[in-house]
Amino acid sequence: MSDRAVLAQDLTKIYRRFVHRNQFRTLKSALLTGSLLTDLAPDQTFTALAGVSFDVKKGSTFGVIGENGSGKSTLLKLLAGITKPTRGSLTVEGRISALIELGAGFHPEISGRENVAINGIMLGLTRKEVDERFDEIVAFAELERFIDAPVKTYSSGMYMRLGFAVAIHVDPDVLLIDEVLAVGDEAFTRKCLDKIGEFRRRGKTILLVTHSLGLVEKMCDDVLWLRQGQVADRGDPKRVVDAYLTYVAGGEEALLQEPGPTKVAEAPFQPPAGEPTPAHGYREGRWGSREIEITRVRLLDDRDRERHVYVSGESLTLSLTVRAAARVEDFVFGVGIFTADGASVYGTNTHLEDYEPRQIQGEAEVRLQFDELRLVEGTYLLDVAAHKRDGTPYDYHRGRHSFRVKSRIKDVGVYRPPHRWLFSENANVVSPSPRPELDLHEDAPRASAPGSLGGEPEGHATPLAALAEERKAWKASGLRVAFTNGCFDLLHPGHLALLEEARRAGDRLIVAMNSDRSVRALKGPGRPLLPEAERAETLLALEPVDRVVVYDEDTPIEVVRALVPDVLVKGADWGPDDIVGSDVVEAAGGRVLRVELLPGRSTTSMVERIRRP
Amino acid sequence: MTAQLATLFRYRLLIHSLVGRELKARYRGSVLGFFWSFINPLLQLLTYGFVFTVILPGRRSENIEPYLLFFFCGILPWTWFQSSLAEASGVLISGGNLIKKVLFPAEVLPVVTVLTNLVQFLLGMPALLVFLVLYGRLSWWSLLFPLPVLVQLVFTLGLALLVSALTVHFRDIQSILTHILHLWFFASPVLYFYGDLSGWVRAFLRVNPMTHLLVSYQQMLFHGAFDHWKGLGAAAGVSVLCYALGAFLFDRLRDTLAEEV
Repeated sequence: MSDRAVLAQDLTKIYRRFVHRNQFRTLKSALLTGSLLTDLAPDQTFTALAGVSFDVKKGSTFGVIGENGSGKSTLLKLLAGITKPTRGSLTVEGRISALIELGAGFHPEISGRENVAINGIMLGLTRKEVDERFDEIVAFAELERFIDAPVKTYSSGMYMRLGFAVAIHVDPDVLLIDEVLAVGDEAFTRKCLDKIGEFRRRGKTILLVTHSLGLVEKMCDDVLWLRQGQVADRGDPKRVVDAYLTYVAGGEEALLQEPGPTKVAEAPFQPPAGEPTPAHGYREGRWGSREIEITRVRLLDDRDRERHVYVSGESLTLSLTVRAAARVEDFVFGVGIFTADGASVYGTNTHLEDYEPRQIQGEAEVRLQFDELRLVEGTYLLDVAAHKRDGTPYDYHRGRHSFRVKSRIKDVGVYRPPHRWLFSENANVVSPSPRPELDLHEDAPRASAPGSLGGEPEGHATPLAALAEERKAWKASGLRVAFTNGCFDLLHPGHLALLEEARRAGDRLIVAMNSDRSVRALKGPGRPLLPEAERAETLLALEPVDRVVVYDEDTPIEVVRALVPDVLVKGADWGPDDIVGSDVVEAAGGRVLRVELLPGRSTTSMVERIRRP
Repeated sequence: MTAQLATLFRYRLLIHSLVGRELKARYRGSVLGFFWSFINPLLQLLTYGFVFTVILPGRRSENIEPYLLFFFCGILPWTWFQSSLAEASGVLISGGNLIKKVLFPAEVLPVVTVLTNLVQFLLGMPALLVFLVLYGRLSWWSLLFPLPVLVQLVFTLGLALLVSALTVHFRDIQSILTHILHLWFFASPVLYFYGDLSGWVRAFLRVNPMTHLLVSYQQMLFHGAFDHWKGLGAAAGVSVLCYALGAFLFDRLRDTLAEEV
């Protein structure tokens, strides 16, 4: 007994192609030209798999991903034993059952009952086993009432349920699943997933071939990525899926950079008009009349750099480069976001939002900016479209673009509303990061800074090390951090305006405050007017301020380096190049925000006025 | 070939179920159901009987009177042969889904076709037996009846494998086959008596294995005497060869089947 369920060594499959005769050439002509024997000999080969080696541990869930034509289906057929490898060896231990096409062997004229028996036998059960499992199969398919009706009277959902029920009750040691979960209604899919989960718990081996990367990440212990018939990568699902996505995104970019006309010819399918409704869910494609053509689709971060992986809460801008060869007056631009399994997340268009089209001609850019992409981790597909107001498409790209959202928090669902957890006194909960326990009675969205941590003398200011930890947690949950610094020994409305502006630029605002020693060194012996503990307390009492950190140096550069805020805010009286830490922030992908100050409101001038007798 | 036979044996349960399914599906939804197995040959009998006794009441040798009974003895096995091949030619294409999607030895499909038609043939036999008894034609020789059935089974299986695999590559075999079978029908002694023939016609019919099978059936059932051992033996030899050829070709084309259907 080995601990391997599947062992593939140097697996190669070469398909033979019959190019010189077309597929349906006739026997008559073959006989007439005397080419019967040559016609039966293949004249061209196509290598679908080239030297693929891998093993699958018993009891593991193994994913196979790859683009269309990468050899996934061939691998599956080899595993199922439907075709034989041209070279190499493949051993599968135990009974294998393939969920390739549900109910493939059903005969429409005879009853569900008889089909179950025959399908079960086809999948390798004995008649006795079929009889034993019959009730279970029918119950799983929820077809008790219809089991004696001919299968041709079944709806497609019933048909699939029965097919799945039979295949899963074959009780294989190795289960092959090919895309089948992409079809069927939600309840059925969930049921299938439950059943597959049960399989995993019972230590059965599962091989999953799918385009649903979310499913792969969720379910698989190990992933194999096939690219053009070869193993491109293998290992941890997250890593391999990310690598694959990066590769796919790169390929899409390359494809999109090609000039338009060649792409028109390559469009996968073009229904005449209207939105096609594929039989099962979401399918990739492109169609439309191309009077307006979407020649380029870019996903940009807040610094206009093209990216395909975003941290939840970051900003994402969708840029469509469009071209109208002739003047068009009726046009709508639309965008839809879908989960990897095709469920709609959000969709909108310019018509829904009452943008009135006037005209478009030549090349133009249309941008849709999401300030905060509050989505949970996962892969999302995009629909982008230009169409008439009545829906007639000019250029519809379905599922041809995708992006990934990453997050440290593995929350589930689709949307992450801004939120926080609150616990009353008797619920003792340790916060995930060095963050104070939240007080239920304080209803401000931001808790005040901790005083207990580290027992520092600076009143309510947070020690830098603790704050840096907290900053990491914020980043992971997709919160954007704004940052500003100053002495703040005499607060005035100018400060308030700046702090408010700063807070708006992010989800959290950290204020770095000069220590007493530092203020004295900068402003002279008469300053600060208030000791740092009191200054910190005052600042934290302000609505926009979330945390205060004290620094002892002349500049806050160390603080900026430790926290790397997303937005660095300073008064506009500072030149862009004078702002300390701007290089650090910008290098990390953040931005610098300069806020206009209220005139004559500098603390120094006020202090002078007060002191003048 | 032995490996193929082993495969077929391993899948006997499936073959059994599929034959059952085919038979059920065939008459599902019809009012008369399984009675069609009797009615079909009877109707055929009436048609030909009408043509050859009423419209063309030509001179017939006494050897084949009563003519309708003689004809019945030939038409039943012929129908089995003909429908098997006609259906086998399309069976891989219509069952393409199975070959492509399910772990499934493709030869099961033509085998099921031949066996389904064999069962139909056997279901037609009681009707024939009734007439044979009525006319007092039954004899001990009739007990040899399974022999030609076995030979014909091997022969038909061989041709079915051949035809089904080739049709995947040459779709028009299906339409050509209809005409070949039609011609073959008239070149086989179903409507007439082989013993009446002479000269080149007889020589021509002698190389047709179906001739010897039909003569065997006719002798055993209709004439109540059997002396066609040589012919039946030769037909058996040809049948085995035919099966070997069919199995060999099917095996050679096996890998292309899943890709071409």
